[in-house]
Amino acid sequence: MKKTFIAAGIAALMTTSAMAETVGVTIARFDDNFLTVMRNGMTEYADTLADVDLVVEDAQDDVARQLDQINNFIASGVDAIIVNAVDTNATEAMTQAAASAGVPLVYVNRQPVNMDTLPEGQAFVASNEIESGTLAAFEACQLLRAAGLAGGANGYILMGQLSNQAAVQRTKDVDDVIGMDMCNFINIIDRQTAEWSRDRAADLVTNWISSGEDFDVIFANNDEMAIGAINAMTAAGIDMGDVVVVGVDATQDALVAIANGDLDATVFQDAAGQGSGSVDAAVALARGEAVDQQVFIPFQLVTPANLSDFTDRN
Amino acid sequence: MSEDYILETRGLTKHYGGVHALQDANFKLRKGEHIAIMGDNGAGKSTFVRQITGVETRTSGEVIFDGKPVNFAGPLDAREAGIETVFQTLALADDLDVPDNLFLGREKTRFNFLGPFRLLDYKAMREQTMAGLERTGVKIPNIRNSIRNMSGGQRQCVAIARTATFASKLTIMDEPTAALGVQETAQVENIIRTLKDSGEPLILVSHNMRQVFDLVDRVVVFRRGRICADLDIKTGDVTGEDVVAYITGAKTQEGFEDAA
Amino acid sequence: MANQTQHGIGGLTYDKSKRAWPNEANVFIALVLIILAFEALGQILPYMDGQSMLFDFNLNRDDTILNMARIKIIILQVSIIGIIALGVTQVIVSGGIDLSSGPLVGAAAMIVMSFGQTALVNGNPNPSAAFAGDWAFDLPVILPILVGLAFGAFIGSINGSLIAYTRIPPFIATLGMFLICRGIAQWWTKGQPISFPTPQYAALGSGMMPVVWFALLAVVLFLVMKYTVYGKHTYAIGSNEDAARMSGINVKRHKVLVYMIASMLAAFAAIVLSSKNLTAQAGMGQFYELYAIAMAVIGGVSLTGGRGSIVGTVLGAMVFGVIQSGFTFIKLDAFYQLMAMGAIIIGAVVLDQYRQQRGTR
Repeated sequence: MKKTFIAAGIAALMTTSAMAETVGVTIARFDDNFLTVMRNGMTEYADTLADVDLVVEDAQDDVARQLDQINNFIASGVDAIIVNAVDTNATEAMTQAAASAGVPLVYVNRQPVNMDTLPEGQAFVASNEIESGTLAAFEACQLLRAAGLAGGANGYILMGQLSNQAAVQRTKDVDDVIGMDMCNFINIIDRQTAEWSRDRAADLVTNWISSGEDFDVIFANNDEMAIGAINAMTAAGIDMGDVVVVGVDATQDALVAIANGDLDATVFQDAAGQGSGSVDAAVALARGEAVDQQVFIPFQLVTPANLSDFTDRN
Repeated sequence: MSEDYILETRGLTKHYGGVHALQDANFKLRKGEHIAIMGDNGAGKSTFVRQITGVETRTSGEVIFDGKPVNFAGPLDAREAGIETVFQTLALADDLDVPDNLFLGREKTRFNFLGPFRLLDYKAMREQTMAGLERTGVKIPNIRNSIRNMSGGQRQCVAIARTATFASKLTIMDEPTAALGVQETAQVENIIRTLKDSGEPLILVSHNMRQVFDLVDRVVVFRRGRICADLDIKTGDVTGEDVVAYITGAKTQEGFEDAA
Repeated sequence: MANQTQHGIGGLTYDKSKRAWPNEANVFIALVLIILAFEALGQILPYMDGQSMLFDFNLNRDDTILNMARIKIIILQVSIIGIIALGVTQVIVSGGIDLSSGPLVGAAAMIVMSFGQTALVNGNPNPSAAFAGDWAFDLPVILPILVGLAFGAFIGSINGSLIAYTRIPPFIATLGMFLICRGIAQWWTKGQPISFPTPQYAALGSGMMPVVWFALLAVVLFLVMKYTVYGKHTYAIGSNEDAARMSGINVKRHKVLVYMIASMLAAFAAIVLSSKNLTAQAGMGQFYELYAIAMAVIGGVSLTGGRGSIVGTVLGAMVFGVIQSGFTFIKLDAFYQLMAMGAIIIGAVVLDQYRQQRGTR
């Protein structure tokens, strides 16, 4: 019933603007902050383009649903598909579905596992998660050195949902940075998942504080968890000047936390830029133009020093 | 003379579409009297009970209860008028205890202005429960335990005690011992005798001839939707075989020829 | 108190030795056993260095021998879901179920926080303002509270009416509401989070306030379930709905009330949650309905209705809290925690059913 409705909607769109490109977009989830910014970036950018229509669907974190949506798009005759993968390991089936139907496909934000073997007519636009965690962790390492803790420092890692590649990669980035000679004075006491959630992180950090072990740094896979950690530490009377906290995403709330001196650094991921970049790539592929198959939009470290550059980007 | 009757029906009739489940039933029950209603399956016994307890509305005829014509809109009206019914499948909540069950829907409360959140007066309910149990001769050592753990007989006794507690004017029992064992049946019959001693009128629907002859004053026999016999069994003239004959239609009492 | 009559009724005795050992005692014993298990692991596991979970031997931070910080977080982290569990308890006791509480928390948090925001953050306009006009900021805190409770009452009345007046099973009706509330949560600001509440709003859930609210509401619900007609009828309907109806209880109206109370409690939990975290996000409340039901079931609530208690549910919440902190205490690998939690919940319910069966033989 829903499929018929969507197909009819797409058909209607296509008849109203005969020369327009119709692009089907499937987003991993609608209730994620970062993805919301990216999704809004896409739709606003598409509105500025004269003859591009977007149809946006929520995959609700369900791999099977996402593949259904892609097949549905193909059946409705879209000109191109943009996929924000629920599970980056499940992209091969999506690639094949689009390729055998001859519909161009662009992956956005989450790196597909088959990114090096994408066929003609497919591309991906993302930021390299190796950069995100590394930029933040390295900044933390330098801050700890500057605070005179090069003799030894203890810390915790707050991980995101373990089924997300971003969480796994950003955590690995922290381990890689600590593995370097100049940063191996850092000792990780424990690492747990707070599921990207501010509340879970706050409770988790409160638990860690109650165990009585002193710590100097918290690496958080995202800003929400970093803010949760800050809330917990503040409630426990810990001075934020004594603990280095770093996150990723550069959300509005995080920028305020940096301005307050609580959060030490975060990493800006150009969500809107990824969104519009993916729309450009999809439209270009639909029109048969040449496109770079791998477009990496760089991450940028955000600190108190360059804070003002980012206040209205996300 | 009509003040002697607690219940009277005149021409009570119930049709379900084309089916004449009950036809022209003329029934009288005196105060203090115990009557058994008997008849084969489909004879109209249950239909009759349903009409007088207000579970269904009658097609025609009159029901006069305690001297006044009545028209019950539902079983709660009948209950409020003083008719208490004990069914074969009990209306008891397993997880509640004896006082809770006795007072279910009619709880004693305080601070009634609080509406649904008015407070339960446990003390009053316990006291009245004990009194009610005493009145019916039911012995339950610990009324505060849930009735889930009680035997079928005890539970049936609790249901009967409920009628005594609310000083009903008429008790109706529909096959009360059909699901019970011998000893439990004896317990329930003892309680019925207690009710007789306290002058409570009773309509007993039963298939158990021995029980009927042990307990009641009169037997009213239904057949094919009509009353076909009204027998006084206290005189000793009527035997069990006679009653069976009336039930099956082998005999017909004079005055009831239409039912033949 | 005469227990005998001249009719000499024999056999109408009741075995006093089967006098109910309250189920809540079993849950309490389970709680103590779980604490002891974690303490034992703290001593046995080599990497733990003989630490204790609840006692403060090595640290000497407070004057007490107990690790107060740990005890506080154990209760704090389950208080918000605990509030939901209180409402779910009375729903399940009445013979129903409510699957909508999790997304209702998300939706309520979004809606309520919109009315609780402050206009200026560090001198700049609130970057996550939900409404455009000036009227929407720095409102008296009673307003978002009332909005939240009204929203909860509204959703609950729909749940209850569907369940009471149509033949839709509670599972399906509340599952549908689950999806609707999820949609509302995402639609409210198209997925943008809403942050930076007024100081009064932030005070509602700050520090140990969630525990205070949970304790308060637990006491109120306890009194209601045990001492009021409402509570008694809830148990009756869950135990034997036909009997309740035949006894004159307005079952339909009662069910609507039951679901309204449950949803209002979930909405209040949303207020506390968003206040504690100074933000409202559309994805908040994920899995809360399942955790709330698990707390109630561990606490002895029977899914068939008629049995359960507020005390049991509170103990069930404590069990959850101890397990969560216990996992962090022994530094259990994150990958194992979900599996272990699931196994414990199944184990607890199986144990409880086994004990109940033994009792009725």
